[in-house]
Amino acid sequence: MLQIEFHGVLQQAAGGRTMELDGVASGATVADVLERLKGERPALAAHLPRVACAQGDSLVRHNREVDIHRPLVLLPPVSGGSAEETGQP
Amino acid sequence: MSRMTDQPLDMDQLLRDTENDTCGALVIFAGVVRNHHLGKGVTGMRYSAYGPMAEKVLVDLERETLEKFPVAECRIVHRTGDLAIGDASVLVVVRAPHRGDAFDAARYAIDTLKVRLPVWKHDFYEDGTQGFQDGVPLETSDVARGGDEP
Repeated sequence: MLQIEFHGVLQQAAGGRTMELDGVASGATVADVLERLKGERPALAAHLPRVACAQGDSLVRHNREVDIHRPLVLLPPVSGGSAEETGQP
Repeated sequence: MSRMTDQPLDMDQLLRDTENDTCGALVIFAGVVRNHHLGKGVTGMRYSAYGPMAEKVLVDLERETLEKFPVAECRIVHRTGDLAIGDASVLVVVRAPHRGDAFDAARYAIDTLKVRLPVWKHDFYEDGTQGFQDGVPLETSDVARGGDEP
């Protein structure tokens, strides 16, 4: 069972901070898991093309294998720092 | 000192931590919560972060800034939690022998932070609505990769 962790706006779309995904096979890639999530949480679908993923303190590319023993963390576009440099008027 | 904190940022501590007699320039950048966003009045903001990665990003960014520019000190701290208008959300402190290098390095540090640090802003508006600000996709997202991987 793979634990999925959501941050930012993804928590609203997913309806919570975490969920568990059954049946993720050993060797599955991040992209495989994201594809599964579209079915499990349709509200996430629009966000997924802009989502990055991490395990522990490192980013994991979408074509890489998921370590099913560690949470897969979904990170929406980031907006840290100061307010005055958002590129908005 | 942790670089990610839910406590008010301590400028005095950063200045003490970076004291360096070889430096003739000190540049401080402070990002503060402003009272408007996209034409709407803002009453406050909540910052959330993916802590394990955020701390590493800031440590790595400090090191990278020191390697990339002829500066002697670079420290970056970022706050999470509920912030009021005028509260500092981020501080960047750079010390260098010369001012040009210090300005360049501080600019690089804050600009790079904004595209690498896993932090999200949730605005609370004067009209009672609220919502997450959009931002910059991190580098492994489909959009950031431009579809260059299968």
